[in-house]
Amino acid sequence: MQHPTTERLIDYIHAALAPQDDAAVHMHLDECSECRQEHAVQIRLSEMLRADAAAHERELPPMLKAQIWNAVRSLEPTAMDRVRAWLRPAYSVPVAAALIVAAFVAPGYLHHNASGAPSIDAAYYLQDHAAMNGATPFGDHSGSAAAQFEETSNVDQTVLHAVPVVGMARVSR
Amino acid sequence: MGAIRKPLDPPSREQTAFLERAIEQYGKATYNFAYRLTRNEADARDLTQDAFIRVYRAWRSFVPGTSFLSWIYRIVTNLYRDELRRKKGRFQEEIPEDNAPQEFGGERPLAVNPIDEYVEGQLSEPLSRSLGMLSPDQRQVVILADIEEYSYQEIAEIMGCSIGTVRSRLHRARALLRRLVQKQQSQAQ
Ligand SMILES: [Zn+2]
Repeated sequence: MQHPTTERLIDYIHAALAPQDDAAVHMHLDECSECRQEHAVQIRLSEMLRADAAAHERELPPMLKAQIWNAVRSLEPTAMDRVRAWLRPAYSVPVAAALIVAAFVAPGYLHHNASGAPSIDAAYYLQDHAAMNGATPFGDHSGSAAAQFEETSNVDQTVLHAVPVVGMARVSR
Repeated sequence: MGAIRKPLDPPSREQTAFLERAIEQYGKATYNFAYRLTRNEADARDLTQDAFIRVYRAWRSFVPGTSFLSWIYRIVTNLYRDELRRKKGRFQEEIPEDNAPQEFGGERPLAVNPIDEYVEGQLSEPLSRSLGMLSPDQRQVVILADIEEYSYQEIAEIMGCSIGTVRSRLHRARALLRRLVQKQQSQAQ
């Protein structure tokens, strides 16, 4: 085998090569001291980066926490908040059930019913508290994250897209 | 909208609890991520605050069971990108990225802070200093790949780019880091 390029070694140490390529580089490193040396340099760079990060790690300033809460409390309600507040009675189950039907009839997030009042996809309410109800709301370090994502992904198609969802889970750290 | 508007609901307990838990579990990581990106405390604080405000507002769009950290890192990334665009004119020219076109920003090369203006006590450390000389994109890919140990796929999702872009940015960033560190070490001797 040819000597792997530095770029290939970088991909190798980040476990980003296809299994066959990974195995080939691994075997090559066994028998080539020149490449072992370059590999060691790359490993060392990663170690230095982690050591540098650890050395400069900071605590979350308590002031910042307070500032976040202050900022949140003083938030201007969004248009969505207003709609939601206006529609409070719709939280009842029968209405939500009716809205499920509506959700299948008309696409889109907001609908207008016969009287002209806006209503919201039932899916919105169904998903409403899912984040807090899950056994592991935050999937970090969770093994079953993929399964949970599967369960909720259909509902989430219809939910607020203010921020893009990163639909993935950390496998290992 | 209708004539009758009811007073706003107070924030739901769930929404507040969500934010509380998010800050508790991920506030420090988010702040450190923001600090590593911006390399100064004031910007890191602003970025962290803005990110958690978005978390609060968009809490329903978080998919339970997925990585919260990936989600908030993506939020931080987008906010930081917006901020860089806003501040663009205030920065100096950056070190060219090996003749590669800038992938993040636009017509003009984006810049890092004028050589570690705010980085207290780090100027003597070749690696910290070199990190500050990378472009924001290069720095971020190094932070995510080597410090946070995300896969290329995960980094692509956080940064909103292709895996190929992650790969080439990381290659260039590491080559540049290596040269910068070596240069500083040889100057120090
Ligand atoms: Zn070799």
